[in-house]
Amino acid sequence: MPRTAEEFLSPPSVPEDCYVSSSVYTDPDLYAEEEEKLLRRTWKFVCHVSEVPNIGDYRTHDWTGVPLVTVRSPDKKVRTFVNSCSHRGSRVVRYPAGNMKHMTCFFHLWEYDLYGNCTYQTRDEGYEAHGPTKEQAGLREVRTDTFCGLVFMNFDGNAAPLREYIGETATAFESIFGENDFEIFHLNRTHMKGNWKAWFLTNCDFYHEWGHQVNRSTNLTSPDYHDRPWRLNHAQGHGYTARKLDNEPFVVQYKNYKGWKNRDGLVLRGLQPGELVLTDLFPNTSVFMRTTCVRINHSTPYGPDHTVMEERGLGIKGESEADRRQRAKEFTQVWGPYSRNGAEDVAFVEESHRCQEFGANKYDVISRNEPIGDGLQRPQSDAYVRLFYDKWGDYMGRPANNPKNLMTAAE
Amino acid sequence: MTISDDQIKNLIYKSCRLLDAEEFDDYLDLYTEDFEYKVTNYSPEIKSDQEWMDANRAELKGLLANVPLHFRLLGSFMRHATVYDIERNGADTANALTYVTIYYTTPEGATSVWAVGRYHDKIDVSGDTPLIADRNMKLETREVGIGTHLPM
Ligand code: FES
Ligand SMILES: [Fe+2]
Repeated sequence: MPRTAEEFLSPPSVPEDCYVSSSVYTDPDLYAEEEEKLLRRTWKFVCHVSEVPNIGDYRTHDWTGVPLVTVRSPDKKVRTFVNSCSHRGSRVVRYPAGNMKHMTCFFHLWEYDLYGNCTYQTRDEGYEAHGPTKEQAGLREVRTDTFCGLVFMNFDGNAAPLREYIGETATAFESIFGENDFEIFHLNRTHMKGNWKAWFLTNCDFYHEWGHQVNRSTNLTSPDYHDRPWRLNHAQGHGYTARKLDNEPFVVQYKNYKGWKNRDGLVLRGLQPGELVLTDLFPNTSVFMRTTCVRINHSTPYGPDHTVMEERGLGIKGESEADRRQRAKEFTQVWGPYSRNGAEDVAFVEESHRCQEFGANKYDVISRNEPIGDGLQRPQSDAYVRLFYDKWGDYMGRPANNPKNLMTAAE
Repeated sequence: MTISDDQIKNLIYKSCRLLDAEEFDDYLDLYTEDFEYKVTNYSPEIKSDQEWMDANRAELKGLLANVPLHFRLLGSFMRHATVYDIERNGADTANALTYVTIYYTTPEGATSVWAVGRYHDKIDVSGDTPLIADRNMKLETREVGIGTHLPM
């Protein structure tokens, strides 16, 4: 039966943690608050260590509107600095990647070393009277740490250390990253008209596998497809799905997609042929292992409705050209702008956003419940999405189903 | 019979027209049996070339057969190509360089540039009609919005 206007505007008749207000995807004030309370207080994925292997190697990126540069310093530690000159604010490093001996601002040629110290001010006698001295003009350093070759940063000096933050969720990938010497071979970025949470939760929503022809043919045809539980990290808001309850690997039947073969060769150490393992780290980093290759996915939001998704592929360092080509081929069968799934996932997010943007869809329903025993839930359950919004509520001090309830707050 | 430069150009232009029209079977007929098809680009982020699509006949055939089953970008593409250079490699093969601009038109009729790139083709000229033995679409454009299931 179609809904009346009143029904349409009312919250869905499901428990309170089973829906969210669409305003969490569209409201500029909530987005500004997210930047302050959540995005600047959690660990943000920056790059893989193979992108900065040598002293002086750098990557530029942005977070919460702040330009950043991550560089390997002469002591070999990877550091991140706000990429804005202490003089008049110009961006200092302009290329996405490269190698540098020091950082020279192109505007008035101030210079910084790879520890962020200001080492040169053009005609510095002009600063003798009023300063600032070089000592006072270093770049702002941002906390940076590495786990399993993944570089993360955090604006919040008081946040828990990265290792503690990832917690037991590392189970799903720590040993695989330990056994394989990974190196990046693929990177793509996509601007999308949609919210960063919607993108991340698409990675965490296995119910949407029905929307992908690849998953319909290679996953859903597998009889034990539904037997993998979500392993949830309630303290930090992460989750992963890996082995089934009986500890057998979940194996994807790639051969069921026309023209493809099963993934029996080039299997990453620690995985079985065809095995699929997925990890989602709050608030927006996903690590996927599809037998022969690793995908690291995260996004950089620029507003409630502008998200830049970034996708990396990892292979084995030093492998033969033929092996690398096969690995890259298998990666881009599923992921990337000309892949089967990549093009679909972005459209899923944009099509939802289009309806949420002007209020055509007030609520996002996340009520799926698929118990699998031992208090665990199947991947097609919304258990992880609910956990995500529970954490979101903790950081924001607001419930996601009613984030701007001025009426209740006044009482 | 020697294959002329015009025949090679017509082959390349036909590959654009058939792909625009999504006449996939006829499109595949323009290739040799054991061709290799790639979409590549240079990434300044990782400072190396990378492949975004890499398919042989069986893989490309499977992929094109699956296209109607996928959730797809709506609208259409129009490829505008100019063959800049044809170089003979002895009697049996030739290399062709083609500049390609791909326009995308939404279902509402709004057109924008989707991508620009260059076809680096190896053409088999040993038979009565030329065939594409290898195609590498080297993209300049790396930002393509939601992306597509189609070869370029
Ligand atoms: S703004 Fe950088 S030197 Fe002046
Ligand atoms: Fe997906």
